[in-house]
Amino acid sequence: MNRMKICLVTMFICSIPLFAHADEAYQGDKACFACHKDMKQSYLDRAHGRVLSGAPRNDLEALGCEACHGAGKPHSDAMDKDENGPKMIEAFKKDTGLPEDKNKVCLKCHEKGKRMHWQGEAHDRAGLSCINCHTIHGANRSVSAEVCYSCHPKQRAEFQRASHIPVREGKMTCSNCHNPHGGKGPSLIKEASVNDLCYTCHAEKRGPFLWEHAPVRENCLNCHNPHGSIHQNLLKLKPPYLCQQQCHTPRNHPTNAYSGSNIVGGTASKIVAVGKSCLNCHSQVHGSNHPSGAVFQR
Amino acid sequence: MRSNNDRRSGMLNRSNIAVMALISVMGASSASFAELKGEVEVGATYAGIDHESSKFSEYRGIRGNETYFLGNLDLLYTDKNYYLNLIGKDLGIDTRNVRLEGGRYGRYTYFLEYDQTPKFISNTSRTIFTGAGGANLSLPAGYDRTVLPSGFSNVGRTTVTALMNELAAKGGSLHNVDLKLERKSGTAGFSMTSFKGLVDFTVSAKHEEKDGIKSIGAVVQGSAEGQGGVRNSVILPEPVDYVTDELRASVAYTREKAQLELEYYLSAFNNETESLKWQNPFRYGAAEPVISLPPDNRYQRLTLSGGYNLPYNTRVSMVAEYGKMSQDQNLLPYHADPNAAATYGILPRSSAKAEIESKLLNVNVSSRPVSALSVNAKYRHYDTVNMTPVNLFTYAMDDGITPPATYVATTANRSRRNDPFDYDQNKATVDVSYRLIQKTALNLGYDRDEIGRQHREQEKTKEDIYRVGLKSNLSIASAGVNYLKGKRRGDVAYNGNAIMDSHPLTTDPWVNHPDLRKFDVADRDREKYDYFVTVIPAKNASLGITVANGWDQYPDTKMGLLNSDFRSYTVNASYLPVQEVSLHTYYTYDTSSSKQYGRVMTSTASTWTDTGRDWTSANKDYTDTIGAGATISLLRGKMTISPDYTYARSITTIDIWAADQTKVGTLGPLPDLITERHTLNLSGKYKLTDKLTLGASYLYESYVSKDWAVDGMTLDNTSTLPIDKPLVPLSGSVPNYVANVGTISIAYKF
Repeated sequence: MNRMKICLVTMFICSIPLFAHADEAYQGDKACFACHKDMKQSYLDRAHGRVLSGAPRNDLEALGCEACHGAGKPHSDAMDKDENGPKMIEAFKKDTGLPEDKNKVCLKCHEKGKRMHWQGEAHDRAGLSCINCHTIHGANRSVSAEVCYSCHPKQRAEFQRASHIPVREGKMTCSNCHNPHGGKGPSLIKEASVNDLCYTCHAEKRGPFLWEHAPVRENCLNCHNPHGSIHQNLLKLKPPYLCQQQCHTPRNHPTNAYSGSNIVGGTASKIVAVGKSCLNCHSQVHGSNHPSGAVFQR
Repeated sequence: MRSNNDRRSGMLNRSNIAVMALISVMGASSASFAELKGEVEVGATYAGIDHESSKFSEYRGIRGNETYFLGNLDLLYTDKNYYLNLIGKDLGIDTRNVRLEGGRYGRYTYFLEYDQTPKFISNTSRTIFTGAGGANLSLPAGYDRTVLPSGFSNVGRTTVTALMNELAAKGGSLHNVDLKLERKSGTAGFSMTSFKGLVDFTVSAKHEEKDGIKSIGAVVQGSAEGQGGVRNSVILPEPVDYVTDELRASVAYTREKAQLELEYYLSAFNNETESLKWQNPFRYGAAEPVISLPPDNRYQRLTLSGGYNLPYNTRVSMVAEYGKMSQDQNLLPYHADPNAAATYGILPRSSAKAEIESKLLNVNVSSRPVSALSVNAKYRHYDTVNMTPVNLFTYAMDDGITPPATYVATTANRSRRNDPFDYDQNKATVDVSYRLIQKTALNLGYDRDEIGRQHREQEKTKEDIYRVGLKSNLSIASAGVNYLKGKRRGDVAYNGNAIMDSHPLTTDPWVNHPDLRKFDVADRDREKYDYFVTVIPAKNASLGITVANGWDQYPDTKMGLLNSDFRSYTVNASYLPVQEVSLHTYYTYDTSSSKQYGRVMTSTASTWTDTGRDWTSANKDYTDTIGAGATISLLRGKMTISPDYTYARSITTIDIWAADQTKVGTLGPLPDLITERHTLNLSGKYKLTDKLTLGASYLYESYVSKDWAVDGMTLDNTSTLPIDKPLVPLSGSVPNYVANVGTISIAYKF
């Protein structure tokens, strides 16, 4: 028993320098602000500063700046010796360090909610770090579509097309549909399937209807390009070439070759070629609830 | 039905109350740590336009040749760690958004938000009906429906001319009807973090009203004697009067190693107008026709998400979800005339009783056992189960005709069964990334995607996708290249007769040609590649190129979509010549094309095998998008000028050809479909004092579109209408326009 007590006392005494070392390595916010005066106000004005340096909820947050950047003393010691030498701190610079190391720091607190599935998702695999899109000390509250365009220029151009969703008008942004940190559905969309996502704004098309249109029930993208299209209503192709002739070839009118002869002013203008085309008659393509709506006319 | 004005005033009153509450809270505070800062901007906008155009107004919320109040604000009140933030955008126009958010940093947050989004669809539409926006559309008083011939086959233009003559004779006139939708939503939410940040609780509720008028095609028989043949189409103004309520609630438990979250979501959609009744302009019938409108529906969902961090930088995460969408609206009768409806028989059930369950399971394992290697494996199971009861419904074509007494006996084979379509997906994905050298990684991936479907031509497809990529992020340049190859095949023989599941009594099959392959389930070979290079020659400049190409081939398809492809090229650059000036520009060129194959067929069986009736069409879309902008700071930062220019042009060409036009019909060339837009925005700000900033902007926009499907088609001139079948159109063409918009404002910052 005495040996046990001696061992415990010895372990306690030996461990004092370790604790002391750890405490000394963390210097507190004041030491940081002594040099980084320009950072102080923007940090304290934002949620990070308000919580970490104002009202921390746990021991990690109570470290203030050092909760994210790591212990400051090795950094200040190194800077005293050589300004151009190793910085000895996680500075979250885009051109230094590995993305996964930077992200680990953020995920300590933020690996939950929308960010729960970051690890292994497309943007993590692409080698992005949080700071590629987020300005931690900056004034931006949310990430704008412009940030996404830097890697996705095709989508930027699609939003400029005549038929588009109101992204360029500022009423929507990419994150209305996508969760860039890892969504439940394909292409990082926020919902489990494309249709589930579309129904969040277009609940009238959810049904279920008495008469379902099979490709519509499965995937809105069979017919629509959600980012923008040359053709009306975000359609991928001009009707009737989209509807009738890619999927419907029973006899008579769906099988005709509609050409310039069949538009208004042509030698044999046809109702299928003009106006709403197929939807002049088959208007309920998203589904019909009429007992005689089997061909989506009612 | 509630009036739009009642709703509007109700919503605005609620937002006014919120603003007043904020001001009273701010005024009452006198604590020593209290601080109020922010910015308020007021001004005016005038939009001058040469031709009023729905395309200009579309999502902007302003019309031409009108002046609008400009108002934006961002007020932040803080008291130690408590805050209250009021943000208002576009307060004077129909795109306004107001959000009030408060709480204690890191502890709890509450918010109220009001949002409005308009969508102008058409400002040139004209209708013969009165009552647009309501559930009953009427013809003009005194309109005589007997002037039209009965059985007017292939005399569409003549018919409409007679109709127009009748309108003119009765002194009736076409009515202008603006096609426009508007969403207004109010959202309230609360979230709280407790137990040292371990537990999060969130709840929010949203109420959205969507009102307005859009267009819908409706159809009636051209003659009383047949059950088929000539149809007459009318484009109707469809009333939109939707209300959607949403509720979200979640509770989450978070530790550094493990996280768990449970979420409940409810969406309830109600359509205040369940059907649309309209007077048949072509002839008197047994009853006035009725078309169904979107039915009320509900969706509920429960989601469980979790993640656990294991040793060796390994993480397992999952999502399990169960949802159910349901719709049980009372069904309309087969026929609007009760006597005629009896001829068709009794409905097998009185309401839809439609239900679809959805189940999701995502499991993701990611590991980085050593710094250079990462491995990710993912499994996804998504399943929809359509539980809607299946019955036989008599197919009554429309309300415009009185069915013969013998109808049920002679045409029972037209009965249709409502097939409960659903599908399930099982997808496994593996990705391996290996860092070859510093910041240069090789990526390899494989997907196996299996989709099973009910009542479809192909009940199961299996797809193998292989991916390889290389990406490098260096300080002076980054580059990447990716290649994908996919092969999708049906698991069983393609069954073109699957559609006949819905026609169990039919003796005269009305099926697709056996050579048709529907592209969404057809065998498919897919290839894609993309690459990008971004060079940063100096700290103040960057130049990038991005290219993406892809092809889909349908090797088993002889009729339908044969192939499609897309190509996208982007060049972008940014440059900061001096600290006060930043410049950026980009150009994107996109093309997509598809080729499809068809055969002109009639009810004569020989036409199904006559290759002389074959035709081919090629659809090609081209778009050019150019953007350029700058930010220039002058007078030591007192003045900022930001010019921005966008040019977007699209051209669609459709070519159709056939070897034998005596069988296929004369194939005249189709004009190109064109849209072209120039947008130049010059905005500037001048700091009058530290707190006061003067702002001004000028926007020039021109828009041109050419669309042979709608251009020039009007009831005013029946020679603009198709001649094969009667069509009474509604939607007019989109007017080209040149708009000049000026804005002046003053902002006070404190």
